[in-house]
Amino acid sequence: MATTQGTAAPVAAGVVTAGRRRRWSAQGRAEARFGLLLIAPAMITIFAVAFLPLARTFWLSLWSINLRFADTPRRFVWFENFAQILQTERFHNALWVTTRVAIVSLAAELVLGMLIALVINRQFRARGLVRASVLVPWALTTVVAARMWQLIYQADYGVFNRILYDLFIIDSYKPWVISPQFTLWAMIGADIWKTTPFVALLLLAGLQLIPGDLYEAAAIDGASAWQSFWRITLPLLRPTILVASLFRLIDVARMFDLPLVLTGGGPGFATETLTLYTYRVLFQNLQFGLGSAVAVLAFLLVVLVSFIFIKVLGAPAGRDARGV
Amino acid sequence: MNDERYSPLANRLSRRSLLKGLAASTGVVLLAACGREMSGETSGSTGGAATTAGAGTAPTAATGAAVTTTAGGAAPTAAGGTSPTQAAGGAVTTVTWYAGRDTTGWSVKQVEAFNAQSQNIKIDYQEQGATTDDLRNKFVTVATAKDPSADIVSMDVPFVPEFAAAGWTIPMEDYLPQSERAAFFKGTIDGATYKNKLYAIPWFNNGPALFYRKDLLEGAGLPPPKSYDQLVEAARKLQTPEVNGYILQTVQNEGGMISWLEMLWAFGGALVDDNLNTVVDKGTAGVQSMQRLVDWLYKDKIVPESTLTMRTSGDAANAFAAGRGVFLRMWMSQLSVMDAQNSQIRGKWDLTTLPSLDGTKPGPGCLGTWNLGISMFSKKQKEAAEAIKFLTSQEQQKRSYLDGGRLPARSAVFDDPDIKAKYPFSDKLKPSFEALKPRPVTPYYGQMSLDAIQPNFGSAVSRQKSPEQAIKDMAARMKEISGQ
Repeated sequence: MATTQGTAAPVAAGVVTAGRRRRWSAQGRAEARFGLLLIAPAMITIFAVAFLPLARTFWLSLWSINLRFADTPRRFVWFENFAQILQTERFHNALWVTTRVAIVSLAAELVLGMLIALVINRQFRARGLVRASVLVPWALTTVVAARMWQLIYQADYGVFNRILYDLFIIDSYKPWVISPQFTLWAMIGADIWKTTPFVALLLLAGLQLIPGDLYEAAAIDGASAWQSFWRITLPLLRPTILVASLFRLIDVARMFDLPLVLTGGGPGFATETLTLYTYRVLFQNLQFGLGSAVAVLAFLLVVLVSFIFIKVLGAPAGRDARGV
Repeated sequence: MNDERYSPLANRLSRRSLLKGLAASTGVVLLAACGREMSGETSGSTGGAATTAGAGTAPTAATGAAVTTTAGGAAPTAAGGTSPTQAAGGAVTTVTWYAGRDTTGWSVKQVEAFNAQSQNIKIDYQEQGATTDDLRNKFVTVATAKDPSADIVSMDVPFVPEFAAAGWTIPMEDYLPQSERAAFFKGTIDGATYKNKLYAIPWFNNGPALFYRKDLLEGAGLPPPKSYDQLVEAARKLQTPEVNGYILQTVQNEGGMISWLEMLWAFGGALVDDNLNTVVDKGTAGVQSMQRLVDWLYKDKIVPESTLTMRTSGDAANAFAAGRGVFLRMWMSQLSVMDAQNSQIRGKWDLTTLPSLDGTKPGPGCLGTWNLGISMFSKKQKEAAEAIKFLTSQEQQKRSYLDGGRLPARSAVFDDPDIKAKYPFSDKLKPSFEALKPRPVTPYYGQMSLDAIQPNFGSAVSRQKSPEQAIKDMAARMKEISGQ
């Protein structure tokens, strides 16, 4: 209401209430139409690129389609695909892999990202250079980074082996990316390396929004650096942390190129993420109905997790911010 | 609302430093990207097209013609005065060839030879990724979209039934009449046939051999091994920290899986029986062969763990050529690597047939013929067939073997005196090539391999599952896929 009135104000100024009301509606309708017209291109684009494919994927997920055989007819099977997927062990595995990556990566990236953000938020010489170089891993194409990590973890001459060997942590070189105990951690390590800068950048932006006099006041009251971090920095950073976490969760939910290149999802299915599994059902096995069902499930899961995240973390953060 | 008043300017991530950061990181990406060369030049010049250069003596360096049919503009003609867009025989048609990665570089030379002698058809040679699985994925994507961008497609043996059943490749019955098929090894023709129809023409034959270091074996007074036990014994004796006993791909993909499959056959087992029923879990061969391979990796330690990451056969061949192995199980198509310029083992190696369990006869090898077929959605099928005819001709198969180290699918090439002079072991190989075994000939094989065999093989060799469990799960999933 307030905004509509605001925009209409120049014209409506000085008119009596009754007339103003009538005029406002005529004016308002015209404005609303114009407004709709203005947002139409954006809405149509979003509809075309986001909703249509989504609806189509959902529609496909209700069919049994196998392109492997030219003469197989497609059948409408209602929710059979979903029932089948939910019972598939490989789907549970993919879900579990993705969940573990999400939890571990996110936790590590938040801690490391916070440390980096705090450091590059300080005044020191060559700060610009440090800030720029921190961003390098994030700017690398994932496929390039994955190939690089493949070399780092390489079994015969990989630098990772060399370092651990020289530090007497291992007594012989190990093929990290295919050993079932380590492969997931190797992948998570590469992922943390790659996306921590992104989290750090977002947190840095958040840090810069915190008023400096709060720290001054805290210092005058005799608060230690530790206290002001816990009482000022962290609470005020909450909205930023929420955004960073959400971005990263969605990122992990569609993690594809890193496992594909680094481990191929192996050994076995030890590093097969949800998206990699979807791709294989869809494009390797050409089961379009079944694959679409996996994609729809993955989508619903991301929506659900995002929703919970915003509800749990979002609300109190808003109140705190207003309270200050 | 306080935000703006506070936040000291100096503390902000200034636009300049952000730009600097972006510029720096873009630079890194560019550097990384420049490290890779494009394999096919898009050179428009196919100069020398009018000369009647013999096969393999292409005078120009034009790789793979131009991408589009505008190549017509670059075809100079002997008949002077005609418009440059018109070659003597009319417009030039470019056919696109979807091929697998060829580390030997021979395919490109073959394309050059074809382009040099052909007036109105040019081949645009395009490799699709590093592994066989990559090629399959790419062609499947194009074919399911009914896209005409692929004309010729290189086909591994299991592709033939799969692509035929899906309706992605055309029958080639008319392009290689029955009477001409006798010139090929029977196994290669069988591997290109689905439901009594020929769907591809064998391009080059491929099968495994056991490569070994002649110098090391002779130095220790050991004969080339005939049985697995002899192999293990020799490998143990001769291996050092620098030189591994036995190199064979054990990575979780088609190539690694075949290493085990050949052992399974040697142990008397099979994936499926003649009626395509899954039998890998019948008897003890499956578990025993898998256990043996796992032992080689972790107990006998003759197979290095790095083989678990050797994605391409080139990775394994290069390790051997660098002098890092006593024995190597390798496709004959990598033959030329051993005597290449940078090989450390030139003149120090020899090859023999694969070992078997008891050593009385050669161990069974996997049929790895590569065939050439034509996409159902190609708009230039006639021209593609012309090109395939050239690429699979007797003359080209002989050249390929002599100059590219590629074994012929035409058995007659083995009897050629030039071949016998250059490859003294040809006589030894011919019988073993007649006995190569195909992987299960069923359209389900592709999915069986990707979903059932490879992951369980991978789980076993990485000790995620016991061999018993892996074989059990593999069989269960294979049955599911084929609907038994």
